[in-house]
Amino acid sequence: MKSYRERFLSLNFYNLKEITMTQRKVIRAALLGFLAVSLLVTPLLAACTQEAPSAPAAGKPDSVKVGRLTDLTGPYASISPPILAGFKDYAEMLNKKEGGIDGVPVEVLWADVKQDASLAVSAYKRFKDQNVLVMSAVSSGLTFAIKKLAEEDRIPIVTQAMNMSLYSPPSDIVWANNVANPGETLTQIIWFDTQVWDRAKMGRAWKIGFLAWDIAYTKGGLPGMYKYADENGIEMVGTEIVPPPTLDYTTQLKRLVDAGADVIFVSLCASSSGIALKQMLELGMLAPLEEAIATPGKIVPLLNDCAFYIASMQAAPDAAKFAYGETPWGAWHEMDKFDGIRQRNDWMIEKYGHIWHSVEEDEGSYNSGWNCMKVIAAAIERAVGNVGWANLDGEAIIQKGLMGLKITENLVSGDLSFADYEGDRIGVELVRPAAWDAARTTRLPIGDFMRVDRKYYVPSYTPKKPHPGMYVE
Amino acid sequence: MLPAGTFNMSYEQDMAIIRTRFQWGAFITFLIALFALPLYVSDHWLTLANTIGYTLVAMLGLNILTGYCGQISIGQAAFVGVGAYTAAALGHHLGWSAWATLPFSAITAGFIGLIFGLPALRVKGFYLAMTTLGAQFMILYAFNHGGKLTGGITGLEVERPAIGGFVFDSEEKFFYLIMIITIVMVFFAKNLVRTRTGRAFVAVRDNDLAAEVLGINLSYYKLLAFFICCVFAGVAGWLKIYHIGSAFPDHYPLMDSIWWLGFLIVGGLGSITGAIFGAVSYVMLLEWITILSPMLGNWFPGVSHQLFAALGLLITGLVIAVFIVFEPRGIHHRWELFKLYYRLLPFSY
Repeated sequence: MKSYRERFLSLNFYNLKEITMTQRKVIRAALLGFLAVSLLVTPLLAACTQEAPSAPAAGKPDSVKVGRLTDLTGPYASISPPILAGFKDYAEMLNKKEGGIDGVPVEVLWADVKQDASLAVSAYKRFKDQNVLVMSAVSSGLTFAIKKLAEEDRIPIVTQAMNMSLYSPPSDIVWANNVANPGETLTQIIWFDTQVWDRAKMGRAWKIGFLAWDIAYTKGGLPGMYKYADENGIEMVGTEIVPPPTLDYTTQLKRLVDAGADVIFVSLCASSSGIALKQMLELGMLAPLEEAIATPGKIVPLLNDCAFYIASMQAAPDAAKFAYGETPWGAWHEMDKFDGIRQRNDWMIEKYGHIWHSVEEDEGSYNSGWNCMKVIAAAIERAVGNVGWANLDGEAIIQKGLMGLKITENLVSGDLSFADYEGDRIGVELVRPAAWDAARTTRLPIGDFMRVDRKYYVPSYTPKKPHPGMYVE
Repeated sequence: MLPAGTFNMSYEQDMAIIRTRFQWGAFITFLIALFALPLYVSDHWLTLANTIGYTLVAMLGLNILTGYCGQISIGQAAFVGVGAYTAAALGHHLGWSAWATLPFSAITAGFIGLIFGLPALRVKGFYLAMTTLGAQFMILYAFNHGGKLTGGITGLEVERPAIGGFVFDSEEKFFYLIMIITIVMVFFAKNLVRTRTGRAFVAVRDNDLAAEVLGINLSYYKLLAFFICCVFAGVAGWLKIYHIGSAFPDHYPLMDSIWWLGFLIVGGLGSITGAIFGAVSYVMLLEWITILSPMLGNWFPGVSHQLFAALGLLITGLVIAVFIVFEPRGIHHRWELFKLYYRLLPFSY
């Protein structure tokens, strides 16, 4: 019985054993020559036979493509999934309910690029090859990675990035769908300063400490906070910046409390804020609001947007009831107040059969993604109305879609879910202070929408009075 | 091993990297294919080729340090960042042209690497890995807190390189720039390991005590390996920043340093070809996973996207683990076996 190898070698037309050395050299030379000639001739033939580029079809395209860079396995892994879900769901809802934009379905191309600049650039190029009209990204880092390329290609980026440097000075490429850092931070500071802390009764101004991860997003609110503190007589007692993902904040927390902080602004990401809250509880720093204000050694924790969400709060349910944050979005039970929330709730029930049951469905993050796609779709629709499908490209969406865009229907937020405000590209600016609703595992708005003065939207600021750990760009 | 019937008759022949007509033919064909690539492929594939280019330069440096000299570094991504930030700072603050910043990127990264290589004089193995890990954190901290010099959290943008009116502003143009520099760096690395210095590196790696007894200055060669490794990193950083257009602290993460080390093993630690295999397989695997995970998510809508995205990390880790267990000499070793089989044909069995 011959082996397979023997059978193969015994084939007359290809018996390697019988090939002489000279024959081998000839075969190799022929193969190499063929390969080289092919490489040179094929592109020439391709160039000769290629049809002249045709003008854009006057009719509608098969689909309109939007690119999305997300981070499902990197540093933002715990907050990105609901944002992506909301982003895709809005497009799906639009396609199903309204047949897309002007009858053209929206196609979302997305990639998990793990906060990696090289992967982000590669995915951007892949999407560009597939003719995306608008890009979107989940974070400041990813937006920075593709900003230069998008500027050169004139493809707008509608992003969740909150770092002010992306918008200051304002460009026509990067558009914020989310609240920028000063908005999310100062909403809470102003709420505490004007509605909680009674200077006359307490006999002094209040003191604040800042605890942040050492990344662009979490430090982005510092300049505005420093400026507001200086102008309003609030004392900064310490700025603690730690590398992500630190899991023990006890030293930093103790230092801030020992320095006399009444409030600690916790600017962390993912479940770390839950860990920090747990440690505050264990250290005896937490108490109900009134008691915390009146008792030395107790503090009020104010949380930034990415810290104040379901996974971090469920990591420390006993401590979460003492925490405060903000929300630019309507809550799921506010469907009578916001048409967009009703629309979104209806869609969730239709698609999932329920609303808000898991970490992946974190409401604030989902709304952020939902609203981002809504802004993009509105901009495309507006641009199509102005220039038609035949002339639709990134530049048209910038000039005729995003510039001057104001979304006033089907809102998931306050007066405006998105508006192209004069002088910057911060599209969403109305924010409410919020507490944590443990029963509904979502943010519970506790005040009216606020509009933070634009003078605090600064990318850098040096405090007049230095303090320990002061961070200045 | 030379092909059957080929004998070295002179010193030049003995030293030649490309020895036979077939090898010359294959080399020239490869160059033609490589430089004709922009005629065939889209921007996306050129981006991947460019990413492979600068990743390869960084991994070549790491290979010289770890594969040849036996010194572990988990800070290579940060050293790449040093090269990138040097170019960005000189270009952004002093208005230097990209070309003028290239040697400074390389040298600055080299000297910074030299500083973090100093512990290698006293410690090795796991402990050295920990000190270079420290470099990764310290350097990223410096990027984040460098004030106006580094741009802090906002990073620095750079202008595209240009020669006269010819601006390297497309993927195609960058492809030629990156490939030429990558080929030069491969050539340099290939030759370096065949010199007295390269042999000294190998001696230090195999047995440092024996190497010292033979008269090799351990301190000098260990530091030299760090310097050269980081010079490569600096060049890689220069390529990366001009390719992307901006330097940002998040662009040089710890995981890059770790994956590069892992994929050097996959490619073949201690061989230039291995570094090439490692860089290609690393970039292509990540890209494949990035493309595959949304597809799986769309095919199985009931399953979380995050699960499929996490498959990427699992697969990447699994590939390294499988190679360490079953083929610790990497793809390079398989490639050598294949060449050996072919050269011995028809007597290869």
